[in-house]
Amino acid sequence: MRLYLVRHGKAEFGSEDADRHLSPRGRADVEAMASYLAAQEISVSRVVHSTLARARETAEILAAKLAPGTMAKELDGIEPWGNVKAFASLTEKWTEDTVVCGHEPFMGQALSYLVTGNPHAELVDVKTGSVMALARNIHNPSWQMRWMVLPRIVRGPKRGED
Amino acid sequence: MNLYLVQHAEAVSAQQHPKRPLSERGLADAVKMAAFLFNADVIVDEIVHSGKIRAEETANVLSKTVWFGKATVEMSGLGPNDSTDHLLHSAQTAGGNLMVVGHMPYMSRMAARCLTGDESGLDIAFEPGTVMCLQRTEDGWALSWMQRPGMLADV
Repeated sequence: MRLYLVRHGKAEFGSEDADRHLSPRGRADVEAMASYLAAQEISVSRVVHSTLARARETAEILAAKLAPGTMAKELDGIEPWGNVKAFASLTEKWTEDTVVCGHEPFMGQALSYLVTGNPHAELVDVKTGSVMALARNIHNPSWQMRWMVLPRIVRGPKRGED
Repeated sequence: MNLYLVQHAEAVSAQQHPKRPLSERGLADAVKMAAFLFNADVIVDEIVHSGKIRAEETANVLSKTVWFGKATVEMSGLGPNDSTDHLLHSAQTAGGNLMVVGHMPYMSRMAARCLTGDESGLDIAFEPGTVMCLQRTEDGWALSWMQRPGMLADV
């Protein structure tokens, strides 16, 4: 199965702990990413997100393109300071391709934990709107890092816009 | 400073050609990747390759969009099973962005060593033509992105 770990798109300005929404730029980034992934014929059976608005909005945009007919669902415990090990044991039970929309530092720690066993390995610099793809199968039950894309490289450089 | 680890694009088999140059598909993949790197605004200060023809050809195609120099340079010690010490040292002291075109399993061993300190610390799915961007940080390296030809539209 494939697991796509996503950090929510750029959010509106506001205090760190406020339940912020995606900014126009963040929304455009996530829409570009969703179209890009759909063009690679990536589809998933499940899209989950944290309890926070910016992750839910990111998940809804991705679900519309990658999981037609499926509603994005809320998942507890993947907030910025969620428990990575509890999340990892949940993924053990999953068998269908899944998109998970969350936050830093959680998503980076989750990736590090899934592929190295150490949540604090600090393997990745996860920009907003980034997608990290992992895979495992019956022959190779541990997670393998497959690719990672971020909005800047999917959309190209800003070239003067915004 | 960014380090770009690249596995050469698909080559023909040794039966088809003893020196194993890029296949038609390998060349097309390298061109797609060059276009992608251009759009991603990647600029490097140096490109090195292992000296094998499939690595050199890949490096030459990528150099068209990411580099202003004239000829890519062969670096020794980039064979599939060579030690990663030399490259790690070069990358840790490099002043500018460095792109390295080589082979498996060297590339995945080097990536895992940068990211975890252990050549077998991480299972990374390189396939021919894959480019991985690692960023040098204050206390090591972080994965910035990783792109494979299969994820790119035809040019």
